[in-house]
Amino acid sequence: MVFANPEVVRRVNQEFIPVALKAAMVNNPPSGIEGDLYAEIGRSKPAPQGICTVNSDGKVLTWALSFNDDRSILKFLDHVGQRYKENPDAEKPVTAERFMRFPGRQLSDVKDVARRIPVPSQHEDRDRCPAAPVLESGTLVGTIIGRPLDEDGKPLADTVRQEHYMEARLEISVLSQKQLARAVREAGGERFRLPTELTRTLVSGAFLGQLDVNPTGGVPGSESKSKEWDFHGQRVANAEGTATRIRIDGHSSVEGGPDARGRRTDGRDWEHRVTLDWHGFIELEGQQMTKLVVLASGDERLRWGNARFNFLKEPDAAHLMAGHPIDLDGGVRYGLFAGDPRPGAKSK
Amino acid sequence: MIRRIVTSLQIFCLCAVLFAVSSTSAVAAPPGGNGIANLLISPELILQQSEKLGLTENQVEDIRAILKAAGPELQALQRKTGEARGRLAELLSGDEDDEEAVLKQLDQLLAAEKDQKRRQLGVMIRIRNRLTFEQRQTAAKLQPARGQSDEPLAPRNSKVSALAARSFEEVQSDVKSLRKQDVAWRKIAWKTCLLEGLKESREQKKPIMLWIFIDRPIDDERC
Repeated sequence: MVFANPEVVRRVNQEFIPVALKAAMVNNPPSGIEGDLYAEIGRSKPAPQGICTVNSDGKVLTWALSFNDDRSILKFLDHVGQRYKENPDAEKPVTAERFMRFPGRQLSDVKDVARRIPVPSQHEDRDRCPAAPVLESGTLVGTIIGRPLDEDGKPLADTVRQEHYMEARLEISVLSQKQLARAVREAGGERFRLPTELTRTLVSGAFLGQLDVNPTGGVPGSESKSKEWDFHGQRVANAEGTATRIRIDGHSSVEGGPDARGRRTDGRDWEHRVTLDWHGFIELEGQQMTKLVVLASGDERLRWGNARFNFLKEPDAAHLMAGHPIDLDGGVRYGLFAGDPRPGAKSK
Repeated sequence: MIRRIVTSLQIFCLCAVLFAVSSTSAVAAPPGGNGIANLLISPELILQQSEKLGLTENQVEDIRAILKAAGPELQALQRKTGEARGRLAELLSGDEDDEEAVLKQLDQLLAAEKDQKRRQLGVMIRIRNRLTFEQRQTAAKLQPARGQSDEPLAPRNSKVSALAARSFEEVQSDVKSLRKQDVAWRKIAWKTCLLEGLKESREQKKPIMLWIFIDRPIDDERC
């Protein structure tokens, strides 16, 4: 939402070095010098997630968890630019500013401990960048895209809100691939039930909205109310190459909501139901899955709100952490695709 | 225990399919084909309809014990048959068939199917022998005729039928058309390596804008 404004995009690209870090890395820094840098950033964090600006030695300039309104985002860029001019490095102590909402709601500053962390210009040859995904060699990496449909059955044009356009990473584990290869072998040319591990992977990513509203659960504060799916496959002729092609089809119905016991729900109030019919193809070379194209169509109901916020009167930028109200009920379509296993995938 | 019995029941569902609509039925189905299948009473039906059949607790326990005891062996036989069928399919997938190898593999498949069906039939007879004459008569009436219940799973509705008819290329095209390149968050050149970001920050004398959320707008995309 913050980075959807074209002027913000232009200025961030022009005036900043944009870096995306996983919150988990800041909250639980890895070992080594890079871990020290993560820890230094995390030392002043007002919340586990947020937008943070740092200078060229990794000292925090200003945190912002949300903004008064959309115009405040541009003011924030001005403000940080000025702070950088005054504190471009760690030559002198840098006080970290923190805003619950910029500029209206400021939190207490966090003083510098005057510890200068030596910053190497790159990773040693033997070191893996802690930000790089750790994948077992042979993992098939792909993408899942979700779009709600309009009354004419066409995908909505908006791609800013996550309930209007979802794109996420899809990983098919080596174990899932082996289980599928075995099921295909045992079925001969007959129709067979797809292994659960694989179907769970397909179904659990097919939902609109932010990660918090995963209807299959697995997110703190959430709970899956029901998970049902049944997928089958059957070997079909393949005109190309030596790959074994499997036509798959299935049906899934999942429903989630806040944890019934109220654990870590933060006042969130939501419901999420996704019902889909699936159809597509998978190709195998031996035990290795080499291709996947799957389409799913159906209906989705997503409602998200929070009793602690007056959503209707405030701009979205004012409550980035809680998100914005969602009331979606209608047709949806998902597409999943994956190609050859990612080259250079690292072993665990 | 329940899971093992369910597994055994699933094997018997397959058994019925083998007698009725096996892809190798031309060579493997016993004389009479579906006629024999219609004479067999599914253990699943017997347990599901235990009240209508008036089964006693002892009868139910006996049937469950038979299924439990037979489960591991039936699973192994089913696996063996499936593997034999898979090897036969592989042999027939080549550009040119090796007749000798194919026929040899067919013999192995038929042998595996024979073992499996023999054992399945034995278990079914043992279960049927636990029923009284009246219970058998009632069960036969409750059992749907083969060819109705064991049809290959059909798509659930017209929407699914339309999906199922699509080719690989059509599905691929449909899937790719869903992806939009012109997405706002893709317009920012987010880096993922902090060290690389700091290096560029020093070189270009620009502050770093850190996106710190559960997932990243690149690679993981959803946040």
